Amino acid sequence: MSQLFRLIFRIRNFLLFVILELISFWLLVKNNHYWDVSFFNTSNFYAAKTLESSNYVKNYMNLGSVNDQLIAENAQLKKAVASMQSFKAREGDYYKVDSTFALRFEFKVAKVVNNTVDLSKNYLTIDKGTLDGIEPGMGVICPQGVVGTVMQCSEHFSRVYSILHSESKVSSEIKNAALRKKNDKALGIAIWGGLNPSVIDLTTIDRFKSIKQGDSVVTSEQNVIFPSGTMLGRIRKLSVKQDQAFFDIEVALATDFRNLSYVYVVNNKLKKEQELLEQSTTEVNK
Amino acid sequence: MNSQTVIKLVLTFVIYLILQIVVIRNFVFFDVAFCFVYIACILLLPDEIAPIWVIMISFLIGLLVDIFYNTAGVHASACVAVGYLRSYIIKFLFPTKGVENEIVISLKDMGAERFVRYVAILTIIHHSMLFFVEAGGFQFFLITVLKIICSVVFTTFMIITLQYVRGN
Repeated sequence: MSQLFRLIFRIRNFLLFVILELISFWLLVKNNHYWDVSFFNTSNFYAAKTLESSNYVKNYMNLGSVNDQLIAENAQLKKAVASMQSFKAREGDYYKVDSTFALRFEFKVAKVVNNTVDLSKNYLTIDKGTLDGIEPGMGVICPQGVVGTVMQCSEHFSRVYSILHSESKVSSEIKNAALRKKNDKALGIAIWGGLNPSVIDLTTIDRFKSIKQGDSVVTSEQNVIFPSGTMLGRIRKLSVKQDQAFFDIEVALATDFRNLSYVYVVNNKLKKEQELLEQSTTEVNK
Repeated sequence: MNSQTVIKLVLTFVIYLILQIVVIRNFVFFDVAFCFVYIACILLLPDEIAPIWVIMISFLIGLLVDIFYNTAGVHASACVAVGYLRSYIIKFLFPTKGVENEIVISLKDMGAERFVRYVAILTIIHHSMLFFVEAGGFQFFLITVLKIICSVVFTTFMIITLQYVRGN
């Protein structure tokens, strides 16, 4: 017995090393799914506060580009208003949009206090939390395009999966004149390749769709999280291998993740209802 | 070890961590060169501290940095590896330790060449662990290796520059 203790004493450094490594990896694995809420609420509150004050100075320097972003967005909104009014004028449409469905999206403005773009799993922290009505699962967009999905919330802060995350997927579609004329759709899934923060890969687009370089890629109508038609980017490179059924598409992201300052959190008020319905139908099918 | 050394050590920790979290966090060159200058806290711990404490301190520093980087466990695991391997690297680089004299880990007392070698080896260990754990395996092998090489150069350069600044 004493020999055993002596052995343990002799390799105590190694044992401690192994134990601490195990704790680290346990934290790592747990963090990938769900960060302990108590940890996030207490110590991370101070962490976020510190980062917020360090970002304070940076914000002043970004004012110019924020202004440009706002101007660009204003212009876009004006365009949207105009197009909507023109829709109203058209009479005799057989499909009428239900107002509850049309008004299902709510937007809340939040400031980015922490943001990474260079890792293979990137996250953002924003300065709005449960007290402002933010909930996990809501989408996050910015004036230029899609940003990510809310992962978890404390009272004053929320953590967001950036779309620059090796496990995030965005249901998207390609828009161009040729497709519209044919009344065709090119739906695909956008997945980040883990390398360049300004490029995302678009997969599962049929090789016989008529698309070309420079077409815009937007979120699809089947998307529950983001409003359909939110800009994702433009096709930068397009290629197809001989034996493949799908295009290899590289999309230049519209969002400039390096200079994110303000984002909108999107709340789909009908999301729960839709998910509940879809869930119950799958149960019936079984 | 007297209380003055302890206070000095704690002060060094605070300065390096603030530097890392507030300033250097924002420096990334060409998407591949990162700087994790905070590991100087672990590298510059006096040799007289028992290895078991070095490992504990490394873990706590790593955890603290993890909170600010939103990466629970990644930095902690890399730091623990550095803390554990540190004593072996010292033994390997300075086999005469304890026979001739005690070593003081600093640029002034070790000489530039030995100090650079010491910092570079431990930085390579830390960054390899860090980037491979962060990437979650070997699926982005080449880009990860590129990140490691560039970041090791950057971090080593920063640590040694800061040593010169402190020395003067």
